[in-house]
Amino acid sequence: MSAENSATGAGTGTAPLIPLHCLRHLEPGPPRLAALPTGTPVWLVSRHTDVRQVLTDPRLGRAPLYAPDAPPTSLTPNILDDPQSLLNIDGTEHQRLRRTVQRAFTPRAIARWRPWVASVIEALIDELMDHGSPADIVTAYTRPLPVAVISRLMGLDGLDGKRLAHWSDHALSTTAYSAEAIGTAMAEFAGFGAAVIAERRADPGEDLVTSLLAAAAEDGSITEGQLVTLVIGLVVAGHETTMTTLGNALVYLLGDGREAWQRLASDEASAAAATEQLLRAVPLGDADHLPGLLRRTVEDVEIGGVVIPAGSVVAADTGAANVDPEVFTGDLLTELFSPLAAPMYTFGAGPHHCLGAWLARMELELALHRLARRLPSLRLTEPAEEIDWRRGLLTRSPNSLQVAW
Amino acid sequence: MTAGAGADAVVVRVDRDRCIGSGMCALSAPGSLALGTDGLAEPVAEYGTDGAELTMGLAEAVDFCPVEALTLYSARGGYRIAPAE
Repeated sequence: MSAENSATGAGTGTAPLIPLHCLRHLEPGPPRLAALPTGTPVWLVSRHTDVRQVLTDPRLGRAPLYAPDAPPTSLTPNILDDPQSLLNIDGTEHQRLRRTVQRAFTPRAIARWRPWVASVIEALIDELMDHGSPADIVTAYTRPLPVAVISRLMGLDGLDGKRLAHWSDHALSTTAYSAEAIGTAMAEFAGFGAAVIAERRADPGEDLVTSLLAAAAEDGSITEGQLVTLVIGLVVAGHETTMTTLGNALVYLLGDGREAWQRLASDEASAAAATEQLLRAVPLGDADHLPGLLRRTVEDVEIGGVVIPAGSVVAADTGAANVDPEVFTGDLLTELFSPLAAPMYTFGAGPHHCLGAWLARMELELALHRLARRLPSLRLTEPAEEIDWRRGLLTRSPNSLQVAW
Repeated sequence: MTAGAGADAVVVRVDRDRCIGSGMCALSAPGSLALGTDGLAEPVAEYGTDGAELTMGLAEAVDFCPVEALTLYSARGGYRIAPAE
């Protein structure tokens, strides 16, 4: 296995890790002070209502995290730290950039892709069954599905999977790669984004890049740098977290949650309900480098009875809020097919609510439902303690996952 | 101008179960929608009651809501204007 496309880089260890659905969260309580790995003080916000406030209150923003006076929040900056990305601008500027792509990601726009996504899923399951049992479900299913979907949406027909994995792993690296390696990979990735933009300007298509370029040209205020960052950001965000969630959902569903597999196969509505619960209760990563979704206060703000001074870094711990016992009771298995008791914050909330939330939901529910229907006897062939994890990244998911049927 | 009595007046409804408080509507149409103290959108002024003029900003807000939580109705006729069913 080459380190080029698997984030198992140096310094990240090989000790067994617990599956993400077993991760313990901060006990929800009032905002409390802690420190980021950089030493920067951070207010940890963990209660469901407080997390919502942090994410929706306009007195907290992303842009102030990258202001000249801002304290460092990342030891080795990655793609999330690019100050010109959609994630790191606020207010009207953010809205103008987001508008260039928003229409493509509304629930109705995404629903139009459903039959096509289902056909991709069926084709992948056909190939998996042709390959025969046992197999690695990451290579065969959880990785290629979201890559195929984002490639089609963005018209990236010739995108090489290995290059994409290399860029994505560097884009979301915490400790897997050096700052130099991340810088080099991001420069190459930006070159790829610029080339896609140039190509689509010369030869417009029916894809998301073409439509966002048209919207940006109409707007007139969006810089070339912002466009390149947006395009490569969509490529990474468009597949990485879906792959991660699907992989971790299968670790749960083929292990501790095995008794739910049959019901997942029964109908799409059950799979849709389970998808919401899995998104809620199975975090994307360990949160050891990033204790939550970061914001910075632009003035004094009272949150959960605590006055947080202007200029403070605040982390909205969505993992803790998503299991806050004030709001969510019962364990994942008993609640798996129940509607959510309250909104979950895996996709965030407020202005930076995940653009691809509806696409991710649709891919996940179809992927789980169809797989359970076609392979009712699917099971893990290795104990959870032996899973080879992708390490040193903001997200954690299996590097490979051996299954049989 | 309010058009509460006009034939073209509109009201906007917010599906608060869907709203994720993106605030995009409050930026596009500050005269029609605002974020409440709970972080979710709500109609302001006549837009929640008798209806008022359909502005470009409001049409855009409905169009660009990331979760399709906004619906426009005719204030007088009660029928749905946007988004299409």
